[in-house]
Amino acid sequence: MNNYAVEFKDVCKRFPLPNGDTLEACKSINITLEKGKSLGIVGESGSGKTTLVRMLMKMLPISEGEIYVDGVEIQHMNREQTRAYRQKIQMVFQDPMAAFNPRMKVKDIICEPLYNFGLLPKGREEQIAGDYLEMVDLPREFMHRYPHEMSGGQRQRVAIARAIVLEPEILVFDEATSALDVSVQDSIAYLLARLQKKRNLTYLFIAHDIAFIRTMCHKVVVMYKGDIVEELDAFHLSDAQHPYTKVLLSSIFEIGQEHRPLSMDTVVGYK
Amino acid sequence: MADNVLSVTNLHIAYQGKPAVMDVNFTLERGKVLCIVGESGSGKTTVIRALMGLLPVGGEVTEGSIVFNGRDLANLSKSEWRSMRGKDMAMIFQDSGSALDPIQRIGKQFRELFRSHVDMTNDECDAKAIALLESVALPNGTDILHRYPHELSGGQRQRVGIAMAMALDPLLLIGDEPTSALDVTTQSQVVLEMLEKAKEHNSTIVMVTHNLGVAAYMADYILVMQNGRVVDAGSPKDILENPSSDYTKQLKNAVPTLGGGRYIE
Repeated sequence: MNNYAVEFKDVCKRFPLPNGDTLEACKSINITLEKGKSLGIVGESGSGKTTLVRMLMKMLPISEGEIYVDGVEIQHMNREQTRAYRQKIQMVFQDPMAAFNPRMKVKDIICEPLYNFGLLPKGREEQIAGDYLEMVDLPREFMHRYPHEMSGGQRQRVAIARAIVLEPEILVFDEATSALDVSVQDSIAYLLARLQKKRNLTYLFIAHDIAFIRTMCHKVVVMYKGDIVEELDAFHLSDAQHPYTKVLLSSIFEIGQEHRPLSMDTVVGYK
Repeated sequence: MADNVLSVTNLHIAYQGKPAVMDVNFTLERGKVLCIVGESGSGKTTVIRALMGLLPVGGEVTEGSIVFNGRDLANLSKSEWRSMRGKDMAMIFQDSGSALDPIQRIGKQFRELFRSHVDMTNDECDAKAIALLESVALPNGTDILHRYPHELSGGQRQRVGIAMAMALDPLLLIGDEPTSALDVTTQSQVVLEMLEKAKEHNSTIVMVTHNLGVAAYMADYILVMQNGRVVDAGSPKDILENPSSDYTKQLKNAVPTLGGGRYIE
């Protein structure tokens, strides 16, 4: 029907609040993303970015609307389809420490998804873990370490290795590099761009750093209070029209440039 | 120079005998801002923890001295430290949420903070706390004072932590990546506010950050650290326009910018 890798069609998410009201975290979201491309989602905390990708990951049910992945609607899958779906899409979280079992060694962490899908040939564990560690620029010997024996940047690389071990087609990053040093972030960005080219991967990045998003993404959507207020070509961020996007862009501290942040009150014409 | 608030000379710090920081030197006059940049593991947090006398167990200053406001910090008693922290020097942590007491409302924690250093009534404490919260982009202060830490978002908790650190107008404000976890819009607001407050009270700021953009904007001096040593030091202009060490160049090139290179076509 279409050749989009991911398509959000009028997707809404409502959460009931304890006092009986409902919170509309996502209001009629429409996004299309082509295969092999990257989409950046920016917006302040509470704008609905994470809720949106959680629905895509089937970690939250959709209140209204549909999400299609490779043309297949994801909400009404049976168990077998869901299982196959999870092999196709993987997510990297902000805090890898919280996503790892602290008592598992790196080789087991990396191979666990394969094991879960019955794809791990006997005795090949160390070979596979080593290959994937090398792919994310870590030494093979790291397979014998525990999560706490690595730095934050190293752990995040292991998280990426685990996410790609199933050879997924789509990868979702939820602030996956925000807590890292710029130099580490830079090397991971380089690594991801290389992988994307090699395997024709589709990426979704959530981040509040629009400058980082710009280096990685083809398309950027800006979320504000549950709405997508603007969709931009990452190459032409300065075309931004929406007041919030302008505030966001002006808030970045750039080396060698004056800092003149706008604020929502001063941008005219906004309710 | 009598106006030096802080002078660090030949500072060496070791963890269980393993050197973590070597030969760090700087002096800082009143009202100036120093930013320490470098990757994780470079020793920058260790340096500022030593300033607060908060080195973790096993860590100790093995050589050199830290003189703050005319006093050598090496021989302070516990009670001397206690009266100094919060009032003369205050620290903002990366994760202020975990520095707050989870079972006390924010208002109560502000009162405790004020009362342990100055004589104030409850109403005075609350009014001052609300004004402080407003200054860190939390306009609904009255509401926040009635909340428990878990009822606030991470960004809100961080801003409460910043407000608390600035509460008693300390002579020295120390920050460990205080704005790194905030949204860019909030970060910008908070950075401007910190600078304005510091200016108002002529406070000195020492801040660790990996955001070179923030460092370039805030700092009068920048120290670049790598593997426990200072590899570059000077004004932001010197450091960023004519970096003397390769590491600084690398660091600068790694910063994503709105006009710079991209990884994709």
